[in-house]
Amino acid sequence: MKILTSLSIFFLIILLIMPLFSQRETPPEGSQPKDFVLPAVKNFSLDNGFQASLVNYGELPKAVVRIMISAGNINESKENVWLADITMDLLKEGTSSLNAGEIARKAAGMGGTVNTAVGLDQSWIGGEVLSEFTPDLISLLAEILLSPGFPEKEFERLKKDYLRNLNIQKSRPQSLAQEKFLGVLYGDHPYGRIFPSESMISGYTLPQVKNFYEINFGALRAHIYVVGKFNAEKVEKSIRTSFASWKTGEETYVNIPQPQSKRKIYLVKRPDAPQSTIYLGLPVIDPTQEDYFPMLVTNTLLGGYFSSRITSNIREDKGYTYSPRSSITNHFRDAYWVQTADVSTDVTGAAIKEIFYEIDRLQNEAPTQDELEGVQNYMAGVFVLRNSSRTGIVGQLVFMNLHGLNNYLNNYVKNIYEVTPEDVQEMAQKYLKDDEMTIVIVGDQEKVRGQVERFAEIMK
Amino acid sequence: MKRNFQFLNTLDQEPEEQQIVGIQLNNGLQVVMLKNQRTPIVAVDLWYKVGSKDEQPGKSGFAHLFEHMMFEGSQNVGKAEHMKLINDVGGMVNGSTTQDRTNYWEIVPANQLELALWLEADRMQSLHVTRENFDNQRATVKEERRLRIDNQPYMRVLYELKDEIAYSNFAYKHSVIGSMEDLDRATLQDVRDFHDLYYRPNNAVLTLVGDFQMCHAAELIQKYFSPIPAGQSIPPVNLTEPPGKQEIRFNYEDQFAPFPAISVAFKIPERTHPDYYALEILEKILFDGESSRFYSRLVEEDQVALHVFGGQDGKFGPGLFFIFAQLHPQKHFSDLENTILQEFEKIGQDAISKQELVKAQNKIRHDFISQQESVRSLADLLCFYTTLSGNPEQLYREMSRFEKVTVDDLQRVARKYFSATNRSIIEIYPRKES
Repeated sequence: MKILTSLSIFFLIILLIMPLFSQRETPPEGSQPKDFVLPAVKNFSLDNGFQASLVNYGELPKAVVRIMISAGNINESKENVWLADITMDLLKEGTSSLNAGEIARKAAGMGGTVNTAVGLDQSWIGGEVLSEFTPDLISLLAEILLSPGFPEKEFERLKKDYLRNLNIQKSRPQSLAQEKFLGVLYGDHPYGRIFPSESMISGYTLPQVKNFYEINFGALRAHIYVVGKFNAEKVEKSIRTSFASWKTGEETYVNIPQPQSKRKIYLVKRPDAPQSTIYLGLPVIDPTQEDYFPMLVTNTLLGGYFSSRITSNIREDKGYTYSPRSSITNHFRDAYWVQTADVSTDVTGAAIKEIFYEIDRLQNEAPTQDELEGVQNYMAGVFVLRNSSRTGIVGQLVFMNLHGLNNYLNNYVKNIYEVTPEDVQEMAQKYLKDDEMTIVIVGDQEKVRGQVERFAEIMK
Repeated sequence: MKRNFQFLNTLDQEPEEQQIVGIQLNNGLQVVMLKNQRTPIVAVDLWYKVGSKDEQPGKSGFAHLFEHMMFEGSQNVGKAEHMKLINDVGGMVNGSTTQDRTNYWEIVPANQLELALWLEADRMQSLHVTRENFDNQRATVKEERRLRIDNQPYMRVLYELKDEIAYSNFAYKHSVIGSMEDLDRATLQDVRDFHDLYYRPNNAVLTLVGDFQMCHAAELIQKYFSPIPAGQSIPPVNLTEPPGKQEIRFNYEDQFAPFPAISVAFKIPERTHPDYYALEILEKILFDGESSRFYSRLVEEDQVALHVFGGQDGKFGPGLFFIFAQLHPQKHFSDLENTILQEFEKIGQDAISKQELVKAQNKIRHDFISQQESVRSLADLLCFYTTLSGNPEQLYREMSRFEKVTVDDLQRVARKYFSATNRSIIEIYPRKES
């Protein structure tokens, strides 16, 4: 079945008239904004359930090919953390007829590389090549996915590489903070365990990897995205020829978590650390909920961009930190909000106080229309920038398909502009509850403890 | 025959899309424009030809600290207002400092080009800084240093020690972020002097790439930038490096490193040297991807390293070609070091296959096209070539220079630079538990 979708958005910019001091020049006003038109998407599927989306975009002679698989860390058991990652990586290490070197050389000969990534809900394999090689890359990716070689020697090497990776991650304060934060929120759910133990990695066997592949990889869980300049006819033919024989496989596994958060502090030891890495947050609503857009705007205004309130306060006003940021991370039917900051050890308590001050201020008083409009303009503008690259377009389509959002791209700008100052205040009250904030601090415990014990109970 | 690029005084008629056009104002500001209407956005990129190489001993980190000050207010723009004005029209903005240059960029919706130009001109014209803002940004930069270097594994070596050990000349020997002591020493008067000397139109290149009319843009640039007076000529910085006489070695204990590691750096010439092209291809052959020589040998075959990366470090002046590798826990440090040095020797002696060369050239072509994807990186490339050679059209000639490199060139260049007397080695060890 072929469906041709054309998406068109009127890109709305509210003209900026900002009153400044009278003796100063005022910034020039913009002229009439132009329409932003999203490129057309051609969708089709194969009989085995394999789905495809092709987008002809841009002028440079290149194309991105990405095959999303609805499997990831969510499919791992408690004893099998990172098994998804190792499985995906091992696919690149050899097929029934090509070894790792041959795969890498083939891709390099097309001017690209084969990359993989594993996420919580989804994983992907793909690459970016010069246009004329797009059909060849598709058939190479199909060979990798459909006829894996699972070479023993490379498996053993990969395990060592994962041990290294684990050690490097655990030597970074940001990873330690994230590990603790997600562990507190999600407990035993796969979203709550981001690191395996060393013995877990050492103990993995090839049959475990093959079993993970057999259960989780199949046409029904796969969706190919091709974005860029390419010969559409040849690309479609390559997709049909390469993937028609893939087994249908299992339906996507669904396991929606029930995250918990209470106002507690968790200190993670990092002796002599010059900074404290702070994670402060709680579960919030996912993109399918009615409040999603107001919440997105609320996050941006509070801590989500450079001119946000928390950044203005703890960076521009106080100089406590270089890169504070709040964000919403979405999973399938789940999400959490978190404010992060790396602050000097001696101002850890002061920084947390200011973060709560800004949350409370937003709960107590709606922002002005002017402040909100600035945030809305920023979000609408970044939306256009995000959609002006091949990988950006792939990302947007994947996001919509994961969350089942049909009119997301069409209505994004409109939905952002419909949010009112009162909505923002309401979102802060409804979802950013002070007494439910989990606070994680990675740093020099001895110097931090006394500064933060007034905010909440410090957990063992 | 090589054609010099002509900077015009004015634009009489609208040029074609994809044509690089340059104008030079009376105050010396060079402007380079390229029209590309695929998305209704414009990138504005302003490079000042000043970086950490221009700093004096005792003032390390100042060029970067100054970059922060450029967001703290100017004659008509309040503290942090520059960011806010751009964000509020849906644009993005940032700045960055390297050893060689400092840049400021905006990406704005096509209808907001004038705002970006007005803002950049305002802070080139005059800074309005206070003691309070200066202290605040100094604190922020110190946090940046802690975040990027002091609280991370291996970063002290990669960001700083590698250069400190390899270079003799202060210009490149010290880091962009600078030391905490030097940051403390900086004064408000330093900020004013720095702006007066370096932040002048005759020391800057402005590029515009995206969806705009060039004649209109040229008028706006004249309107906002031509009233800014030219400054004095900039004192040249001595970047010369004496040739290495013997191998340099250094041991470093890293507080947060989980594994021992090694850094080896060879001195190479400046970016405009003809050997640059062969060195770039050697970088691809040695380091790019899992089919590269170092990955195959160190990680896959001999399994002496857990991880490896390297290449040219991208300076304008005398640079470094370096490798960084983490030791496999079951191997000795000497196994790793010997294998690395053998591979560097081997590439100068054994034949490099034609296929290896072509693969590297394809990869460079791919990367080169990728760099031209976004309006911002294209604007940055135009600034780069204009700053480097005065000719933005070098962008279009660059690929043919890579294609002319032969296998013999690669071996000659490898033998010339990958020698024992030309290298410095840092051994990195995790801190012993007390």
